[in-house]
Formats: sequence, C-alpha cells, structure tokens
Amino acid sequence: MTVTINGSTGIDKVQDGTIVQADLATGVAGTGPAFSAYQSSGQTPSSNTWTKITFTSEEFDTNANYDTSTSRFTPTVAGYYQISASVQFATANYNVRTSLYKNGAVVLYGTSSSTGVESFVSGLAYLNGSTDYVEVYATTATSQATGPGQGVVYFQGVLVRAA
Amino acid sequence: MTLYDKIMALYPELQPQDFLTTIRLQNDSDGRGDYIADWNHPTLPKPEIE
Repeated sequence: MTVTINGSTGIDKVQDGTIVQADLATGVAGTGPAFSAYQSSGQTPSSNTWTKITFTSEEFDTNANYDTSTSRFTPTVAGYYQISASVQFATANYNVRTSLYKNGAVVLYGTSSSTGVESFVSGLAYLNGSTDYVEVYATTATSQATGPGQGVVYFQGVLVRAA
Repeated sequence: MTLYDKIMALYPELQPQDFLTTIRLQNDSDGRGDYIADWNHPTLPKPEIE
C-alpha cells in the first residue's frame, strides 16, 4: 500500500493498481499498454480475399499483451485504444485495403487505393482488458506478396484512456 | 484454383469491388484456407463450395 499526501483534503491511502482515469490530473499520461509489431517476412494472400496479416516481430510491447504467434493484441487493461496499421504489397494494384478486426469481426475499414500499393487503417477501439483482441486483415485484387519491413507493414496500439 | 477463382467461374458478372464488402472471402492465416465469411449479394445466391 502506498500512502500519499493530498494537498486539499489530507492523507489518502492508495493501493497499487487501483488508480483509475478519474484520479489522474488533466494532461497526465498513464502507463498503459503500448506495442509496435511489424512483418519481417512476406505473405501472399489469395486475390480478393481478406487475409489476416501476420506481424511476427516486435519493436516494443510494454505489457506483453501482443502475441507474435497469433498476431493479436489482447490488452490486460480495459480502456480505449488508438490502433494503427499499414500494409504494403509488392507491386501497384487496385482494391488494396486494410481493416481492423475486433474479436473476429471487422470494426474499422482503412484507406482504399485504386492504383497504389498500400493501405492504412487507424482509429479507436474499446477493449475490455480481458477477452477483447484486435487483428489486422488486408485484401488486394491480385494475389501478390506483401512488402514486409519495420515501418512498412506494421501494427501498433496504445491505451489513450482507461475505462 | 482459389476460392475467388471458383466463385468468378460460377458468377463471371461479379466485379473485384464486390469482394470488398458485399462478399467477404476470408483467410485467418491459420492453415485452414480461404472461406466465405459473408455473402450479402442482392441477387446472386451464396454458392456451396465443395
């Protein structure tokens, strides 16, 4: 147990792990989970088939909530997460698109490119801190390999507000 | 022949754009291959893939 001095009301007793968003002053960032993963070897989805993108390498994973074997982010802290991902294919194509899945169903569609090689998806998702997970899927009109690499084909997330 | 190729052979009038949201072919990268996750085409019935 940690004892802290509260300047306005006296002494408060705060147990580790019990601080919630409302306890933080405006502008104070928490230490919630954050991760950044990327694809280190390419994969070749079938044409016009939404395929789960595999991100098997990590840049960082502060709370060990990202699983490189399943390419899933399953945070153990409930809250609202900023999730971003980018997928790039080897050659210019059309109907390149990325989407974010939560618990196996699409929740956010990313940019759609008619002539380019990449698609980007970014948005907020509420994750319950126990069973909710997110994944990234992508599709392209012609079957071809992704162009992997750190900062090229990546999947990132960070807690921006606790539940 | 991929699942997409089989469907296009059956319904050549489909366009690639139909497979973005109206028809969703999916692969979960778990070794089980491609499958039809959603079929919401207004006129063409969902095929039975063998």
